[in-house]
Amino acid sequence: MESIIFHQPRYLGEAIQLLHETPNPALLAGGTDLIIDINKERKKVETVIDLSRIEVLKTITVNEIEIEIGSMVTFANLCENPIIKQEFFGLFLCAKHFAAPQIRNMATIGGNIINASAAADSVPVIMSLEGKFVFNSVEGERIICAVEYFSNYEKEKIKPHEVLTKIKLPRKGYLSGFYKLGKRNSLAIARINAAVSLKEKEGVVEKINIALGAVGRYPFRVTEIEKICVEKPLSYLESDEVLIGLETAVYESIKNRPTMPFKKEAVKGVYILALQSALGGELNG
Amino acid sequence: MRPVSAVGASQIRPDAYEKVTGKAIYPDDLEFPGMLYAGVYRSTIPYGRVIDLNINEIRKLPGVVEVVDHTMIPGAKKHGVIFKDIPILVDDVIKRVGDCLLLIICETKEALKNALKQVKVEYEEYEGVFTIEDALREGAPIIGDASNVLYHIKVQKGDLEQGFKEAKYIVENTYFAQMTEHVFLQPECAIGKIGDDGLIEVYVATQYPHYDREEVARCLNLKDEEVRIINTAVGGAFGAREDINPQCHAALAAYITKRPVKVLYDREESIISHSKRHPMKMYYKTGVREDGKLCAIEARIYGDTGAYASWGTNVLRKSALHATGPYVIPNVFVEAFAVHTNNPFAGAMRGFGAAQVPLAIEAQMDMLAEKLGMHPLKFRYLNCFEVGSVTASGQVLASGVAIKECIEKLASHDNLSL
Amino acid sequence: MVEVTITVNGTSYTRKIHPLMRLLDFLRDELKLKGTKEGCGEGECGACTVIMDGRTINSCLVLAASCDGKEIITIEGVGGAELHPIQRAFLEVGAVQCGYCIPGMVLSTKALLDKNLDATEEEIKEAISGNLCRCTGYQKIVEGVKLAQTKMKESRGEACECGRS
Ligand SMILES: Cc1cc2nc3c(=O)[nH]c(=O)nc-3n(C[C@H](O)[C@H](O)[C@H](O)COP(=O)(O)OP(=O)(O)OC[C@H]3O[C@@H](n4cnc5c(N)ncnc54)[C@H](O)[C@@H]3O)c2cc1C
Repeated sequence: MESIIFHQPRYLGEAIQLLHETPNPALLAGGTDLIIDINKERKKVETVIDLSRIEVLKTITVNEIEIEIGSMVTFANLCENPIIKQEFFGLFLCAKHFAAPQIRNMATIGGNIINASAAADSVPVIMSLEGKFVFNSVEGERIICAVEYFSNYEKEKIKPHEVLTKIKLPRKGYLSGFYKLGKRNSLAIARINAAVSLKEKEGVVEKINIALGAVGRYPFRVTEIEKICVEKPLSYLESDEVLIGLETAVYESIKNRPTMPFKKEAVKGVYILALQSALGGELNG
Repeated sequence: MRPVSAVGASQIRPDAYEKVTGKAIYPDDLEFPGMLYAGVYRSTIPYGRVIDLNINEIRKLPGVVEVVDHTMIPGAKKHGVIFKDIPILVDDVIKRVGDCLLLIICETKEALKNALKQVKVEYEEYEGVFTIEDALREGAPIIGDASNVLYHIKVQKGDLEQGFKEAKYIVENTYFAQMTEHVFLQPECAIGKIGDDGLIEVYVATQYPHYDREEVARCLNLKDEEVRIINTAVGGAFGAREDINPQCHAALAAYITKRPVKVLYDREESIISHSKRHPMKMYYKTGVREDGKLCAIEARIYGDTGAYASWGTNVLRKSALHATGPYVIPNVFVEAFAVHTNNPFAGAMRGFGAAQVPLAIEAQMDMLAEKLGMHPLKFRYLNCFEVGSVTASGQVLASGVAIKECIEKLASHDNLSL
Repeated sequence: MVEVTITVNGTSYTRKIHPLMRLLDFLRDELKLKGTKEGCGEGECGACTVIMDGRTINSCLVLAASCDGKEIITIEGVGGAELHPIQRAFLEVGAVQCGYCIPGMVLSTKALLDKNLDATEEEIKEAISGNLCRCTGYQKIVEGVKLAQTKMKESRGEACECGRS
């Protein structure tokens, strides 16, 4: 076996310094993507920087305007956090239905984002909640909103010397929901997923954010549809206009894929279940 | 005589204690001093021939003890439960993705992994057949021995034409059942070793130690008594451990090196290497009289048996015999075919040919019941076997036919009068 | 090579290992604890489940190097001279068939019941959802977990009684 260098920094500063000094470093979070890639030889590593000892990355902190989720927070941690369940119900649902216990206990939200799979479950939720990513490097801090990060991925994607440290979600009091369509209940990678966050007043939509995953290279928001929903009654959210809008958005995004005919239909049901989880979320949560 | 206290009482499995404590020994849990690791390089093409292999380069790699090709097999080069057609190491034509080309024996797992990666093959690739239709087409390449039809059986009873004349309703459909993989939880592993008494020993999780012994003995040109198969705990099988898989390779490697040798598959190799449940195409035409009695059935069942025979004959025979379901049908014409293609070979899996045909026959029953406007359970009750019924193949059911009682129970749940 | 110290079933082991060695290989090859099984090598089947600091993980997806200072429980650490009530229950209801999933099933069950002895059927199914059984024995396994709950509650009750007298 070739020799591999393994670092396990205890402090973020140490990790950032290592990232700065090391050519070609591989950051190890929960390993549920990375270790498979290494074992299947899809990825060659020379230096591994294991983030699992850095306590600050594992915390969830709240202030008046936002919640900050450390990149090393696991999906199990997200499930167990009362504020996530109360105020970010979509993220709670996403974590609850993520893989199976063994994976939830290791897999981190940061790894899910940086792995940048089309089907990453947390990404549409973060997009719908208007979340931002915080990257750190020797050059300082870079903050970018999730939608921008993925819509301009080639330019904005993580740089080799950066580490994702936090995900910030504004505390806007959105009702939020999430639904994933998988081939089975557990351990299913999404065929399609959808996240909905909204604000309503007396049955009228004030604001809605809808994000779809696994229907394109990266998850995306359907802003055109969001706009037409504003100031409409809640019932409009399940109207044909909205559903056909979603169908068209999916068709446009994956026109040439063999899964298109299935996904353009399925997206409607997935969206409606995500919406209903958001509206019922207040009661459940 | 001692009373048999086990009958009628729940017993604790004798092997369960070892299993709940993690002490049960599966082949990969065994290690022997001086043990080597062996693995096969498998073809990446479905049909063709090897032109060149860098065998000499592989021999020189670090940690490589020996590289074995078909010329080094002392005995039979092929094995099979009925027909001896599966190559231990290919000596002529490659017929599927996953055919074994080279056996590489190394000092360590890492050296083996590396050596397998370094194998370079130049192939001459042929145009293969991948559907039942293509395999049966005139002029199709012959994947089997003399024909692509490995097996053909007919089951006939009564007068089909007359039967359909009596029909008030007829439904006619074609059904497809897909290939299925067993995915038993413990991937294949075998250890070959020369025993203290000089016998060739193979530790393996197998469904048939006695068959394995024969095949290993044939491969090594030994007498059956010179081979000992030791069955470990078996981590699931479901039919896929009926054919030889790592057994001959482990034995051959031990025979050549005179050292214990372990062959261990990962999940991917496990899936590539062993048999599958037959994908089937099933044409069905079924007729019913106005009074609700079935009067005629015609069925043609094609099983894609893949590159090798395995149990294809027996599986398709069973499909033919089960094609009419548990129903009394006086006029029958059923045909079943096992057809060779360059797909993964199909063999035994849970149900052995009896699992696919119910999809077709039961769907036909539902459709006929609907046409008659009769409850589907009631329709089945009217037509199902009872003691004394004669099956399509002429078997008289002398006892133990309980389907009527089953239907009665089901109907009572639904408050349905039969 | 890196040096790690990992506590497995209460015993601390220090070894110099390759940094990319999986925890599964550390247990099986270094410590010769063969009860932890490999079924898929990619986190899908759960045969390699062990408990790390109270939580179940797939030992095929975790580097041993990352486990420095951690506490691991494997099937060899469940029960002792006597079977653990979970093992006893699995045995009695006939939850064991080929046995290859069982070490992982027992550990997933233990992680659940150690935290929540009153788990509902839904919670039981969720807790073992990362463990595949291909013999299709889920029904009996769930029954086994339920019987284990009863047994563990009984033995807890007995322990209390002893304490009082
Ligand atoms: C059986 C199984 C089931 C799964 N089910 C799901 C599912 O239901 N939904 C889903 O979305 N995904 C699923 N996944 C995929 C995977 O678990 C997730 O993507 C997970 O969130 C990855 O996180 P991790 O901590 O394991 O990342 P790792 O594997 O450690 O890292 C992934 C990538 O991100 C980089 N990285 C990690 N953290 C940082 C950081 N802080 N800064 C910079 N780079 C970083 C790594 O270098 C690596 O390239 C599943 C995987 C498996 C094996």
